[in-house]
Amino acid sequence: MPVSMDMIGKRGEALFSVAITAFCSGRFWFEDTFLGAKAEALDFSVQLIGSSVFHANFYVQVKAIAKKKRYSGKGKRRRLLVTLEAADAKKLGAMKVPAYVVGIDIVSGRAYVKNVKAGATKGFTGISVRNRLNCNAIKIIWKEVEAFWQTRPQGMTSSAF
Amino acid sequence: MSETKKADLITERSKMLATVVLTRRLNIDVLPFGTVEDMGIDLIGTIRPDEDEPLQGFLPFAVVVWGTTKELHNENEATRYARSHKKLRTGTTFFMPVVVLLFSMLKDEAYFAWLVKPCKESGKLLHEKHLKFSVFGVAQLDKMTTAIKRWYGRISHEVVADAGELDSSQCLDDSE
Repeated sequence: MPVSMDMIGKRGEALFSVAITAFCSGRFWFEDTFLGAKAEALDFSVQLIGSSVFHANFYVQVKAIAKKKRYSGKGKRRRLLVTLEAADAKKLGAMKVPAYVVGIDIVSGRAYVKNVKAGATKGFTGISVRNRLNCNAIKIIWKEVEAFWQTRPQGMTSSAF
Repeated sequence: MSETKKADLITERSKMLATVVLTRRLNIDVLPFGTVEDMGIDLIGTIRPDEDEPLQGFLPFAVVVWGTTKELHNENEATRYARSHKKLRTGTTFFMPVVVLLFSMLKDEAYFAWLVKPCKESGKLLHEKHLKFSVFGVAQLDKMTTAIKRWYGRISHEVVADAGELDSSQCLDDSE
């Protein structure tokens, strides 16, 4: 049976959605919105549930991999072999709002997360398996994104309209 | 968070979990059923047979998705929970196999039951009144897929007319 990139992509999106909306410590932490093919370099907008800032969110690019060789390295150096191109890193970094890449192992269903920092210009070729997107990571991401939105610059304070 | 919002999140996440568990073999496509809520169906699955299988084509089945934040430790608990907390739509006759997938959000356990089950020796579909859930692992997924494919194989002789087998005048005319 031929396996198309479309099937892998759709399963990857579903696996991401399940991972980021996990029910942890008795509550939901995030709600995701799929942005679709029209959103360049961005696959999902993820809103924080229970944030003190209205519509506090971050963006995610999902990279799904189904190849036979999906990992390299051993122990702490083991990485899921997903690539973020430099062009996409620049786009995500230029937004200056929280952005992450989530690598999905289509076979095991596991998800790994890596932040793309503001001002990023370089891509990467793998995500450490230590960065598993699990309940622990979900709570850490919620806290760091909440902290970002609470301390963000003033924003647009004047307008012609 | 309001109970309504929580219920919406459970519903949406359950549909995503259903997509994840049904696509484990990458031989099933999962499509949303839109907002046709009064049909009681949440998703449509379509099986893509292997290239060497005799029966090829569009082999759909319907999926009802339920979810809860309650922990369901085993099949008996899942069955008891579904029977006491979930209402089946009655009075609708389905003309394709229908499965129910029940998820517990705590550990993402998945349970499976037939709502409309293909009969083994005929093309009939049994509409179950009392759902009995089992763990929805890969083995159960394969059993489900095989049962549906075999059922389509049995009814294909009744519903599909190959070219030359029938005169088109025996089928519906465009003007009728």
